Amino acid sequence: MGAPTIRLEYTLLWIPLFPLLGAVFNLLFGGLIARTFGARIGKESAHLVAIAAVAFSCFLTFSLVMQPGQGLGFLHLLQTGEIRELIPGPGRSGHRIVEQISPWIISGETIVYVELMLDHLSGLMCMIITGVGLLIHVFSVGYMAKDDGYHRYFAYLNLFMASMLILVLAKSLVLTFVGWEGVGLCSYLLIGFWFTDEAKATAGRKAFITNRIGDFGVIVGMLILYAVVNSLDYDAIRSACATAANSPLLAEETAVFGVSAATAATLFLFLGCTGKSAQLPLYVWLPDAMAGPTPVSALIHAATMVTAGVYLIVRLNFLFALAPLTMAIIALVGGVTALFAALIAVTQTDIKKVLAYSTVSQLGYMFLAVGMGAWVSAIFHVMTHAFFKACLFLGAGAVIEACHHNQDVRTMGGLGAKMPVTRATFLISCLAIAGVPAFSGFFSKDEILLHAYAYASAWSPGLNYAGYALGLVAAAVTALYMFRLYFLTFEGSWRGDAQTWEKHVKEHGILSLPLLVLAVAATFAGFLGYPHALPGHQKLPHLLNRWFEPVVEISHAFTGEFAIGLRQRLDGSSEWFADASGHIRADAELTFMAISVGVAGLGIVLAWRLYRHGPSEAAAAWAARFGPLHGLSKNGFYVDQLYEALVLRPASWLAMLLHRVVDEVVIGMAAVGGVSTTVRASGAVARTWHNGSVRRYLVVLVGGVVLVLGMVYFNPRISKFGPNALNPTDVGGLRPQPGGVKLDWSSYGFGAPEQPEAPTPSPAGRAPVVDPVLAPRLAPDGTPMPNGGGR
Amino acid sequence: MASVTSFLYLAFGLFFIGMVGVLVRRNVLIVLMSIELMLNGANVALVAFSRLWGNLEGQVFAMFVMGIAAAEAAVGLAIVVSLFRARASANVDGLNLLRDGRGD
Repeated sequence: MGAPTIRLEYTLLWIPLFPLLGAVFNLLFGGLIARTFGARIGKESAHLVAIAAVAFSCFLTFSLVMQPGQGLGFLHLLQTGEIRELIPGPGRSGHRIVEQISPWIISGETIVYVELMLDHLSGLMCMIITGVGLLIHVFSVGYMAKDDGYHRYFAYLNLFMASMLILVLAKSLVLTFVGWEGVGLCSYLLIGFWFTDEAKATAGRKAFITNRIGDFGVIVGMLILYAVVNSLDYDAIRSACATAANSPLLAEETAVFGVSAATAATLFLFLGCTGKSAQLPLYVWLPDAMAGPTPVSALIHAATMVTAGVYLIVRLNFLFALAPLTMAIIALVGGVTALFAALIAVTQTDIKKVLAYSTVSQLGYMFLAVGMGAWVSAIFHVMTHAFFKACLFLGAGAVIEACHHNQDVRTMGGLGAKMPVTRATFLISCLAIAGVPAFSGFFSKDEILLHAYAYASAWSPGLNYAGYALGLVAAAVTALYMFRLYFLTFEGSWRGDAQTWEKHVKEHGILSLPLLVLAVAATFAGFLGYPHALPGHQKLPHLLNRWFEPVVEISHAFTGEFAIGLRQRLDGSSEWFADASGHIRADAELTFMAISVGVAGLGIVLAWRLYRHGPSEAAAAWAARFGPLHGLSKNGFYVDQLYEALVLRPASWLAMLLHRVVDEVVIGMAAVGGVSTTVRASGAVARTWHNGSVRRYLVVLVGGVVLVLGMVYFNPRISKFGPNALNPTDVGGLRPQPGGVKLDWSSYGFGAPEQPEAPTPSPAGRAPVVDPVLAPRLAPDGTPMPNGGGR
Repeated sequence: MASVTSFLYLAFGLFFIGMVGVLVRRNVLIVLMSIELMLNGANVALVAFSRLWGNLEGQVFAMFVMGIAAAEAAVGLAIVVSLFRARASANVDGLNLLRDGRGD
């Protein structure tokens, strides 16, 4: 027997389908199994199904991306530093695998297929999603063990995995939007997972509604793109953009309100990204989203869903590159968000709130990167951030579990003594996010800062310096708040009550295992983007740059106004950090590295001095020194209150107005009330006829008969014989001839059938009529009737 | 012989008398009798037209009408009897149980 050839018709389909089936199973049968076989077996089956589903799709993803023969060749990249094209086959060509599942929307000439595409970008994203997702599923087994909604939890988690995988695997914006909405839904369901708590349910609604604002932007952006490109397939948009300056998206006739279609569409898409990826001004839902279970925060609100905005922009990098204005706005929003959220994080006392604001801040870095055109750096940071932030959140989850669901760092401290694994992994992740060399965050954040400074912005020449400054300050603040959190939680001495310390604080094996894996990833993932300036880069090149070449090649080929990268490519002028060939000089890169390591070190040292032994007087003194700023930061710059005053109050006033005027008066009284009043009034009129007097009914009946007969009698078209007087061409009314219908009497035995209309019979030729009753055509006076007697 | 018009006048006269009787009299028995008059007016017209056109349809119809009138009289009288038993009156105007309560 030869080697068995296994040809799965739809390979990609199974990646999102497994978690979807798991979700369906747990939603439909989870409760049933728990009731039938008891809570223990119910929980076992729920998490086994859920984890198996994710493990299957994880395995499938990794094999499709890594596989030496058939896959995208990630292993090949790791071994040789080069990417290779796929072996051509059904759905495989170039650098990607495409699967057309079925037609979905057929409307006129528009056909939208359910089409999945695994290329280098979606491949890496899928690996992150399924890999981190799998670990978080495992973690959840321990974290949610005592929860009643166990199967519901795992069903939602699986549904989220399916939606997110659809989002990244989709080959058109339409299908991406399905996933986009799906993850929004799951986010809502999981934030409000403990919906009996009013505050948590409200947090879920807040997330959903805020995301809806962004989704509106995505829809408008899609419509603009569709109006110009006539398709929402990524390939179609790509080829529409490939002509750069000649693209129909930049043409005069497609301009929207004076800006090019590309700019308008990207601005609206970016609005969606600010919602989903929690950027200013729509970030407000993310800190509140911490109401959900901690593994959910790790998976959805740190590692995967919130990166959807970054993914979308990098997926459409060729489109965004054509809109320098949007890029400038994105970079600015990203930079400001990075600093803004970091400043809030410094003073938060809820362990999860700190991490939430940290996530917002880190996402700001990613948007700063995409805004400057550093697509690869953004995705690089998505990846490293997924590892260390998931690790941080899971560490926080372990801490919260140990502290009996207390999240206030002021009552923690000294946990390191009892939770060594959690402490070590948390420390590693803190080092990574702070940007300490050799840890993953160092490579990605440094790359972002470098590109923020070095890359030119076509729209505003000085923007890169502003972005760099914001990012650098944010980096210092990041190091400060992360190590503040670390010291307050794990160092010093326990500040909570003794009973909790004795009974609850301990480590759980199933919680520690994912932490270890994530910590290893958070340590080493950075080497995928090893910078050119450091020694040994010949042996270990910047792998991700190679890996993403097919994804970004179009936008990298743009020149002039839309060029991505150094100023040299934009207008030919060179700057001090660039060499003649248009690359950043190694010594310049090392300088930037030194600066960012320096500020990170500054932050760490400050945190160490202030919080080494828990909250210190020195820290209080600092807080007092920056009194107003401290107050602002503590209250999140009063953004929630601002929105309350600017948006929520007017909205509820408007709603009240609509309720009082439109609903109660216009609809309630005029429309609905009007109908019933009319019916009742006409009924009252008609009722007077129904008076029970038979004789009056008869009068009306006779009157009606007279009326109808009169109408017939006086209507010349139907009452007159012969030709119509009013219309000579009309041969007659309903009865053109007198005499009416002749009956055939023969079948009743009344003799021979009567001959119709004998013309002018001669009296002599006729037999004498015996029976006067049967004598035909005799008038009552005995004279034979001519052809009709008339009236 | 009289022309068909005379028969029609007779038929109309009978019908009209019957109709007025139905409309103005209050006693149910008189109303029933008036209905018989109306039917007979119709019968006269049918027979007259039958003679005019020289075929039997009208006369056959007249026979039917008589038969149905007999049946109707039987049923009607039965109803009248039971009504009289129930209400001790044969007044048509009293038979207004089905009217709307708020009407006149």
